[in-house]
Amino acid sequence: MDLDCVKFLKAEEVGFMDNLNVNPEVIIVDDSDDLRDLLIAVLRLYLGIHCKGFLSLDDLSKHSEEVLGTKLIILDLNLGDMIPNGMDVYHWLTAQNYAGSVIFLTGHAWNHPLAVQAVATGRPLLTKPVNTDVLVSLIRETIGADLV
Amino acid sequence: MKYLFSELKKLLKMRLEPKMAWLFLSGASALSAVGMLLEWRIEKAIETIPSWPSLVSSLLGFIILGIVFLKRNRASVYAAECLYVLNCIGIAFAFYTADPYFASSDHWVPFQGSKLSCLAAAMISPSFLTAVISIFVHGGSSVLRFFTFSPELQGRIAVGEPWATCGFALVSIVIATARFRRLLLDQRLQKMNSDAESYKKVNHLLYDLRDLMNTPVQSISLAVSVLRKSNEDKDKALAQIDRNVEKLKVICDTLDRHRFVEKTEGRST
Repeated sequence: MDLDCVKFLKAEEVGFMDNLNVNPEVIIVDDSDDLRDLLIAVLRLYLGIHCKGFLSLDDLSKHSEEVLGTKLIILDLNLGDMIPNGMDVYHWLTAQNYAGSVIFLTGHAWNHPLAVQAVATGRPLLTKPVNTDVLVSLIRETIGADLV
Repeated sequence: MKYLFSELKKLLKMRLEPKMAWLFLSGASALSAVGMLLEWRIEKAIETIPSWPSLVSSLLGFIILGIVFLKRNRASVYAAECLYVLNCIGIAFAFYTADPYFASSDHWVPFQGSKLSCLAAAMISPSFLTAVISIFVHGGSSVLRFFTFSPELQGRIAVGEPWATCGFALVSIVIATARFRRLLLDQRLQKMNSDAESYKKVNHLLYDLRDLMNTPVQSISLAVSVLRKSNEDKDKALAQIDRNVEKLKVICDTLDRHRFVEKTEGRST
């Protein structure tokens, strides 16, 4: 079986996995529905990995077992007004002894208080708009996935 | 020198807020209404002094007090300034009329009322300009009155006049300057604080705006990446691009509207 065929099959499997109740490899936490869906689509198409999106900390905490079992969480810092932000989610994950990786994503500038807090954690911080290739290669390095 | 002139110009424009100006005017008019009654009582010691100037001045004080009471909620600082100067002219006129009679008596301390009025003007005038005018009116009328005295009378009254009165006027101007300069600095500090608050708000707005605009841009960029890789998700990705372009348009329209409001405000002021 040649390599392209393997990649194709892998992508197909991922498609099936979306419909099945399989633990996701990457979790995306973002309050924008479009951005969340597109990130899931990009990671499925470029890395062939199964992702799941969540809207907020409240949403995450309802699926804590699934969340804490993932390899990577992509966390938007701004999750909307008057609700816990990305840093609150990060602190919750730390309190739950989450062992996976975290990549912060933000539309703010580097000097925004939330961005400064995120950088202080030592985890990678990407500022929107981030190039798809950069995003994909960072995720690939982080979770060790192969390109589809 | 240029700095001094610019500061003086600013000081001459310094006025109390309407409420405070009218409060100080009511204090000044009450002081003159009661004070000139006291003056009238003192003047009775010398029978030849006409009593009407001090009584008219006292009445003027009562009238102004009445006006203050009636117009307290819809009065301008300019009106308070005019009434204050009018009240001051009434007092100065009463002193100017009575001073020659007092000067002829044996135990007169010269121009005490005018000196006291100079100090009071420095402390309770509604603006720096009215303080200066009042001090000039009180001090000037006394100095003028002094030179109308005969040389013999000038020699007989206390040593040092009219320079003592000029000294009081000068000190009063210094007090008024200090008082209104402090107010000027307070106003500047308030403006600086309000500017700092505005800059802080604008800064937060820009932070939020950056986040608000970058999310649709990121979505469009990801949708393009999806389209490059797959035809199956084409319609969905195109719809997502459309939606996010629309979001950017809404943000731009909001910004344009805000800019328009700013321009209109700028024109009206």
